[in-house]
Parts: sequence; C-alpha cells; structure tokens
Amino acid sequence: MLSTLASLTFWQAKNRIRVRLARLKQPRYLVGSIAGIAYIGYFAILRNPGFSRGRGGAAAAANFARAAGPLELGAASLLLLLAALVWILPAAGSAVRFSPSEVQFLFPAPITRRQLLQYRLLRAQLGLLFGSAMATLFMRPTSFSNSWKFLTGLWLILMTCRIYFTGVSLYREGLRQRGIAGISKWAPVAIVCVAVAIVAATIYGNWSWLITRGAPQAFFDGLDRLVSSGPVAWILWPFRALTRVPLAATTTAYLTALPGALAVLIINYLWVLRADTAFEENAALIAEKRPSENPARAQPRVRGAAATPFALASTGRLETAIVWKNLIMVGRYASLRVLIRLVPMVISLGLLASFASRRNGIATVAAVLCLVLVAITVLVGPMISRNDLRQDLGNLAMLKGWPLSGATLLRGEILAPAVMLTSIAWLLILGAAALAGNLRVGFLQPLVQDRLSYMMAALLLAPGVILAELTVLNGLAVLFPAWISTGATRSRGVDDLGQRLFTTAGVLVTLVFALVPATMMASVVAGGIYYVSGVLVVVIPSAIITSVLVVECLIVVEMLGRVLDRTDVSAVSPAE
Amino acid sequence: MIDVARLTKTYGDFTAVKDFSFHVAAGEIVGLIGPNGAGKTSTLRSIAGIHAPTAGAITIDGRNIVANPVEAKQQLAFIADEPQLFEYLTVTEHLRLVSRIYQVADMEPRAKTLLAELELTGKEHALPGELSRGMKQKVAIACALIHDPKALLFDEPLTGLDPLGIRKMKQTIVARGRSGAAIVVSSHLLHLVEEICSRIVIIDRGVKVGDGTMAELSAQAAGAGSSLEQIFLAVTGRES
Repeated sequence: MLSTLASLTFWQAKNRIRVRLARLKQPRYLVGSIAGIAYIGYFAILRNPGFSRGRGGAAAAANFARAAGPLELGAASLLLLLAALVWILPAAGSAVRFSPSEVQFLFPAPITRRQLLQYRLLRAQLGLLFGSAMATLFMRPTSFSNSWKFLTGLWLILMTCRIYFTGVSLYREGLRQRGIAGISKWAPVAIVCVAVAIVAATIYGNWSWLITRGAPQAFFDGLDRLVSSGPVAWILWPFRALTRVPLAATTTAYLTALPGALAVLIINYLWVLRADTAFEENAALIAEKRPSENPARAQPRVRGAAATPFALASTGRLETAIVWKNLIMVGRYASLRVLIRLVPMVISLGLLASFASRRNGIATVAAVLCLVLVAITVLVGPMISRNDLRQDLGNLAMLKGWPLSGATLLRGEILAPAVMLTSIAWLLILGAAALAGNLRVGFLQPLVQDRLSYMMAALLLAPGVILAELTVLNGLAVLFPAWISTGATRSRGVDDLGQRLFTTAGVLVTLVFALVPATMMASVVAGGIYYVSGVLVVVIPSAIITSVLVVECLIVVEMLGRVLDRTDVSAVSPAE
Repeated sequence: MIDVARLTKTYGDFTAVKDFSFHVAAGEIVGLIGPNGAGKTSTLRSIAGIHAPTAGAITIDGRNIVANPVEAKQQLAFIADEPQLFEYLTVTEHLRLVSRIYQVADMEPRAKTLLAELELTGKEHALPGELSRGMKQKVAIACALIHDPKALLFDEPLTGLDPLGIRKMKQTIVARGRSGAAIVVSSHLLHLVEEICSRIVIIDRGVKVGDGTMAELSAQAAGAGSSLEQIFLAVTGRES
C-alpha cells in the first residue's frame, strides 16, 4: 500500500511540474520564470563566493569553517526555542491536513491511518527538499561540490521539525478528544519551559565571565565549553545533533554527525506514529473546513458577525458599497493569529523603546515609536493589508456579474485599505506631534521646532503615498491576476519567485515614477515661495504632491478598469 | 429579451461553444440541456458577462453585454451552480450590498419578502460558514432576485435544495416567468426542465442540436419517443 501512496506522491509532483511547464506558454509565466532563474543564477550562484572557484571560494570556505561552531550553537538554540514555542503558543503545531479529494479517495479506502500519516509526511518531503535546495543556493555554503552536505543536513532538520510539529498537533488533538486537561496538558509546556530556563540561567549566570573573554572567537569557545557539560549539554544535544550535519566541514565530519541526527529523526517519527490515535478524526475535521470545490482557496476562519463600520444606504456611489464590504472583511478576519504574527514587530519596537528610554523620557520614546509606526504603516502597510482586489480575485466571477465598471470596482477596492491605513497613519502622526515636544535627537530637531507644519505635511502626504502604493499593487492584480495568491496557501517554484521579485520591484519602481512629477511640481512651487519670501514651506508642497498622486491614481485606475473589464475570469487560475 | 447570436467561446485550443444562437423572449422560460461538458455553463457565464465571448454577440434587453456591460447587467441575474458568497458577510449584509450595487431603493421590504419566500427568516445574521449548502444556495438566489431582474440565468438551480426547497424554487422560477422575466434554466434534471420550461434548447459539444417546444423537439426526433429523456438521448446521439 505504501508503494501505491508513494506513487501517488510521485504522480502529483510530476503533474504539478507538467502544469507549471504548460503555464510557460503564457508570456507572463515565462517572463516570471526567466526572472526567477536569472535571479537565482546571478545572486545565488555567480555572485556567491561560496560557489565560485579560486580565492573567493577558498575565503568563503575558511569563513564558513570559522563560523560553523557559533552557527551550530546559535541554530541549536533557535531550534530549542522553536520546539518550546510550539508547545507554548496556542495555535502552533503543524496539523495533518488532507485535501477534500484525499479525504474522498483515501479515507474510505482500505488504508490504515498510520499509512495515511506516512503518506502525508512523505508528500511534505518534496516541498521541504525544494526549500532546502533554495536555502542552499542562497545561504552560501563552502563550495558547489560540497553543498550536498548542507542540502541534506538542512533537509534533515526541516523533516525532523515537520514530524515534531505534527506530533505536537496530534498529542494536543488526542488530549482534546479524550477530554484530558490538567497535568497531561501542561506537563510538556512545563518541561520545555524548564529546559529553556536552565539553558538561559546557565548562560546568564556566566555572562560576566563570557564577556571578559574579549574576541568573538574566544567568547564562543567559552560559550561552547559552558553548554557542552552538565544538564545544558543534554538539553541541547538533540538540537546540536541536527545542526551539526549541514555545518559539517568535511565528509568525515558529516558521516560522524549523521547517526545522531538520524536518531533524533527516528525518535520523533516513532513518537508521531504512537501519537496517531487522534489522527483520523483530526484530519477529517481539518479537511471538512476547507471549501469543497477548491482546497487551495481555503479562507481564513471568520469571527462572528459584529457591527458594520457604517450604515450602507440602498442607493449612492457604488464604490462606497465595496469599501463597506472590505472594511467588514478586516473586522471579521482580525484574530489572535493575526496578533501573534505582529509579536516580532512588537518585541523589536519594545527593545527600541527600552534602549531609547535610557536617555529620553517616556513621551519622547512614544513619539519616536509613533514615527516608526507611521513609516511602517505608509510604506509596508499597503503590502500587508490585502482587503482589496488581491483578496477579492477569488470572487471575481461574482464581481464580474455585477453591473459596475472595472474602474468603479477598482476604486472601491483600493479605497478600503487606503481609508484604513490613512486613519492609522493620521492617528500615529497626531500622536507623534503631540508627544514630540521634548524630543532631543539631533537630526530631528528642526522637525520638533516646526512640528505643527511637519505634522500637517505628514497628514497630507500619507494618504497620497498609501493610495499610490495600493494602486500599484492592485494594478499588478489586474494585469497579472494569476500571480496573486488568493487563498491561504502559497505556491512555490521558480516562476513564483520571479513573480514575487517582479511584484516588489514593480511596486518600488512605479512608486518612484509616480513621485517624480509630483515632487517636481512641489519643488517648483516651494522654490518659488522660498525665492519670494525666504521661507521654506512644507505644507503646500505636500498638498501638491498628494494632489498630483491622487490625479495620477485616478487616471491609472481608469486605465486599469478597462483592462479589468476585458479580463476573462478563466485567466485567473486558482492557486495550486 | 436575451439574444445570443453566433456565440463562440474558446479556452486556449479548446472550443467550448461554437456558433451558438438562441433567443429568449420576455416571460419565456427556456431550458438549456446537454451532456456534461457540452458548453452550458460557458454559455450562461458568457451571457452573464463573466466570460468574454470569443466571437458573436449577446444582448440583454437590447444592450450588448460587451459594449455596454453595466447597463446590460443591471437587467440581469445569474445564479451559479455553486453558491458564491463572501465568507465574512451575513445574510442581511449580502442583501444590503447587492441592493446598493443594483441601487434598490426599497431594499428592506423586498429583503423581508424574499427571506420569507426562501425560508431564510431567522438566518439574517448568520455567516455563510454557519449555513448548509442548500441555505447558501437560497441566499445566492435571494441576492439574485432582490433587484427584480428582467433576465434570469439559473445554472443547476436545484442542487443542494431539500424537497420543499425544490418545490419552492420551481414556484419562484415560474412566478418570475409569469411576471415577465426572460429565464434560462440549465439543468441535468430533465423532468424539471420538462415541467417548467416552455421551450428547450439542446447543446452538445458546444453546438446547438435542438431548439423548440416539447412537441417540436418530439417531431424533430421522430420515433425517439415523447419524453424529454428519450428526445435528449436521440438528439445527442447517445441513445445506444
């Protein structure tokens, strides 16, 4: 039976490649693939000293050998942290997911659940292998001929992680199904917390000794000695056993490290097979929650109905209806999982605040934080907030049936995130201006003195830049609809890499182009005012920049709308 | 009301519909039947303006769906075989959104009547995730009917409905036809088509192979029999 399931995995992979190759008949996919291959070829191979011969390659090998020790330790610590977080975070862990077709064909078939689990783990290997290969290309190991050690080692780590996450998920599901709480539920959390605490306490307790050792190499030698004995050594052993393999400098070192890593992998695998009692129901539930017609277009879980952002009248501008709909979307998708994704950013900002508060007051720190968040909201916000056409591409068939022009639809789609992000940016700008009175940062001093003017300028600029960026992003969705991921899953491959590169580069280049005429006009006006009055104004140029950007966006949206009107829904192929 | 003239729709090298023409007058209910992959959904989606026709012309109440899509779609409603709903909007919010899109001034009383007619009363604040497939289908139908369209396209309208829902759906379709709407019903349920449609168009491999009333089709397929099933099998050459 396992050979049949292995064949199924092979057929799926073969057909996926066939579909991808067939897609290359369309110029946009061909161009995307060429760009992806060119990027990999240039940055990951040609510009990579690890892959070049001669002095560069030798130097890279020497650097790699020097860094291998600290890297092994650092990666092992990260893996320990990850292993702990999977138990601590409520939604973490890799559930055993089956597509509806797999549920339909495999679940009623005479296949044991253990075989199904093995099949699912086997199927995951292709993605992990591709990920390892890409990481090997970009992470600059020693030499091209030696990179197989890094590739297989990394694959081994990812494979072990996947099996471990599955085990955690199955363990939790087993407890949930049997209604078990208390010690069985919290014991693993307690164990991983104690393990992390022991490692942290050992390093913290010896920190003053470590920092007196001076040079980085001596520091890491000391750290290595510290964590290579006692309980810390036992705690870190499985993680170091894994990270040692890809970082092995020689074939002998690789072969020596391999048994340990394989032992960790096998132990995890056996644990997962033992924890599979909850698997069948768990898998079925996960599959059931996905849309029957297309698993790739699975939607995130929606929170219950709540108040709408505003009352929508039955008549009026059609754009308002789309804005209303898309603002509801944001409210109903916001969840704990979204907040968890923001944790790294919050931690970074917290560290920044902690560092800054040593010299400045809390109000000043808050002002700086507000400014940082303004920049994030304006520049990164449009890429993150997808409550526009990018999200609605999956509903394009329905939208195309409505009596509204492509331009109207696009205006409504763009306005929803624009309104949301502008509101956030304005609040932060007002906060920064209110709190910035005592700011004592040299290069920001002129901003503080005339903060009312700069606040006004920022309030005017923010919506223009946000709108321009959103127009570009939605324009890409109109011009290259098949490049936009419409569901929870993201496809992988060389052409997708090229597509993402194109998207990012396209946004940046187009934004710069859009800003050129706006900035030129604003500069001429500001220069004229300065020439006449000797005063350098910022509010009027900002108003001009935003006005020009808005006009540009309206023109572009009108043109894109015509393209959208001509777009055939069949051109928007579902994600894989 | 609905005019399809020499419609051709291709997907790459594949021709789904070829040189297909038919007309649906106001108050007429036309059944569109054909084997799997015959081109029924492609035809309906082209009429609805979802797919751009490769060739040919489609007009709704005299308005070309390609040249004047907004005006043409204003008169039209398309009910897909798979109910397409926004996962994050409640039933009432769907109706409110669609009412705004079609500029329905008296949305509240119409919505109330439709919800009662389709037995959705009490589900006003439910999200699609909380509804069964049949109920989702009813919500999609309510959204399609709220603007009182002059032309209606039903693609497998009875899928997922319970017996009572099927009876109500048939009554709804017939009532809309009597009130003057031009209706196209695509279905594999030949007894449904035979029961409610005044005329039947048969499509096979993208080409029209039959068009007329039951009597006309029966005459066309002389000797095949008097039921639509027998006629269908004879006309599409699948009798054997």
